[in-house]
Amino acid sequence: MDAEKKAQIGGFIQKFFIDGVPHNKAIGMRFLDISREYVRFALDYNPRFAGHPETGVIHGGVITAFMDSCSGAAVMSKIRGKSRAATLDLRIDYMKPAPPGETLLCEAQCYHTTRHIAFVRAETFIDSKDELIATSSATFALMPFDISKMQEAFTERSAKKDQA
Amino acid sequence: MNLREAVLRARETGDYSSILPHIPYADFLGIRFERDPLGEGLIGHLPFAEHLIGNGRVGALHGGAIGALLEFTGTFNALHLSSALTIPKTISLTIEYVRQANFEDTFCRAELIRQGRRVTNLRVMAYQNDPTKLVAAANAHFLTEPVEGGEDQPG
Repeated sequence: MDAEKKAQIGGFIQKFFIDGVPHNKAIGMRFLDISREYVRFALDYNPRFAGHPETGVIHGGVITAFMDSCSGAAVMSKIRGKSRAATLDLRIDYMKPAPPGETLLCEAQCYHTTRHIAFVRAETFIDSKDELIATSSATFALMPFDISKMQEAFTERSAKKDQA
Repeated sequence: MNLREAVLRARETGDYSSILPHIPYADFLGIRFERDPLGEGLIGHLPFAEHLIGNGRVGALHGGAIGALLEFTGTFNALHLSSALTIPKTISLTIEYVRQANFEDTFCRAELIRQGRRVTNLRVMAYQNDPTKLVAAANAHFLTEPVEGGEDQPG
């Protein structure tokens, strides 16, 4: 993949999968790199995400969101955005606590897809994979975009809003 | 008051929400805990908020936010079941996402699978307006301080 293509896909992922998703934006994740094999995201340390006030260690919930999003981006880049991907299951193993102050990196690999399912594994680490924080394994359901259904949901939601 | 004192106090009063201000990430999410009126456990409550949105077009909350609610509910129930004063550590969490979580408040209850001496295994289930319709569920393993009377091996 050449540099120009990487920058183009990277810009797309940053815009639609990070900045366009309120929770991802709130957490402050960033697109880092993409190749044929993987997608990499970064997550800078923020004391607001500590799960323990005295140690400052990041809560596992942030890592769940981080790994889920990076895995989702790996699926979308693999299928070139042809369907919508929804997480079916996600297993996370926590190897060791994320030290406060460190930027976390996540590398996700979508290693197989079928017509309806995508399989992804991901690793969260500090500088190199010698320092693993967490590993995950996930499956995603691939659903074709259905514009009429989306419109229906939108109308229904607007109607609810009007009632309220 | 430090976290340890807050846990001790929660044990005495039964009000686990008083621990939450000590946990920055719980505060960021806006999570709360209530005693289960029908059982022994604690119910997690994640009120809807803009920053929890995962997909604005289809109107869905982020899977990571639901994952965090599942994990917190597991942690707090594991804490509640043990006599420890330190927050249990998550070993693993296996989440199944079964329905879209809408722009509504989400609740979560826990069921004890096994209490070992060091490892607590729980099933946690998240739902919105209908407790029989789960949006997600997870199996979670937590490492706790040794529990007296917990089952021996393994864990």
